[in-house]
Amino acid sequence: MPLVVVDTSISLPATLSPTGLTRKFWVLLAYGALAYREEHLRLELDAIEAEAGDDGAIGGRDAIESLIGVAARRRAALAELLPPDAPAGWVAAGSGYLFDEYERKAIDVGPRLGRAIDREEAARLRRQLQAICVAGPEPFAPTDAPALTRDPADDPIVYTALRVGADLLISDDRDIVPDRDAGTQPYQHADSSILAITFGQLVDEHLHDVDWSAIHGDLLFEAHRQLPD
Amino acid sequence: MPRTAAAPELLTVAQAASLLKVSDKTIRRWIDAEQIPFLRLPSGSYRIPQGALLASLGGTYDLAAELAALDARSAGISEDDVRRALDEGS
Repeated sequence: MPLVVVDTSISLPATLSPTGLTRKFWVLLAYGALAYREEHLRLELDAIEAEAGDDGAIGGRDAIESLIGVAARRRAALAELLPPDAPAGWVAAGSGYLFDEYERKAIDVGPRLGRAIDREEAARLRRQLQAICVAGPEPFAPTDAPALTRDPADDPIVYTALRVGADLLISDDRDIVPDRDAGTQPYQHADSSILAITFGQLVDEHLHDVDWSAIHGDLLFEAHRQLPD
Repeated sequence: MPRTAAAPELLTVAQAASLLKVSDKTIRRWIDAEQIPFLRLPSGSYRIPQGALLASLGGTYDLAAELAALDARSAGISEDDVRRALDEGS
């Protein structure tokens, strides 16, 4: 089950364009999130129960059970519409910085696409990114991120991937993956390491067996659709 | 160790609010309504598992309707259009 961090060079095309390969990959991440939640979400309840000990009190047990049930039904519905070989194991992680950066860039890029994106719409876009993320690192201040790339604004993105223990950071940003021929760039900090990879390289190396023609961007609706109990 | 379900990150109310960019009051409202899972410590403060918090967005918002509205506004925009717009801004 590869855990990935997706930067804005991929997440913005995936969410601002209903068509294209990045949106199809987004559908797979949404599918992966549902499969992950169906299988693992109860572990979060176990974890807070262990943390509670004798003196803490747990709330929202029914909410977790409901979320697991919803994830199971949505995953099953989506599985019916995806090709049989569609992988359910790709899951995404994100941090507050990643979400803030995404929202900021969405507002910034909107007018260049001929559509203004106000704060309310940016918040809705942000939720689309957050909803496909299954985990995140311990919160950190951007200034905590060590110098790792050519652009200080990208360092907290790489640091997010390092801190969350991701397998891959997917990015087409030339400051994160400078060698376009190789399509990858390793990063290391303390005892953590991460491989940054371009989207093209990811598809060629890890997702070449996927029948992309059978995955449609509007299947993302199925990952969120309200289903009867 | 990846901060996934087996070892979830537990957030304070302020951290949860900052992550989702909502108010502390919103998080406390969700806690009061038990819409999100939480741990109440003996001190009275709360901890919220991050993964479950993110998953709960599907219950606290109608993401399908929001996606439909977003995609309707983005009709005709290709991913190359978005990439070009991003390049122009960098």
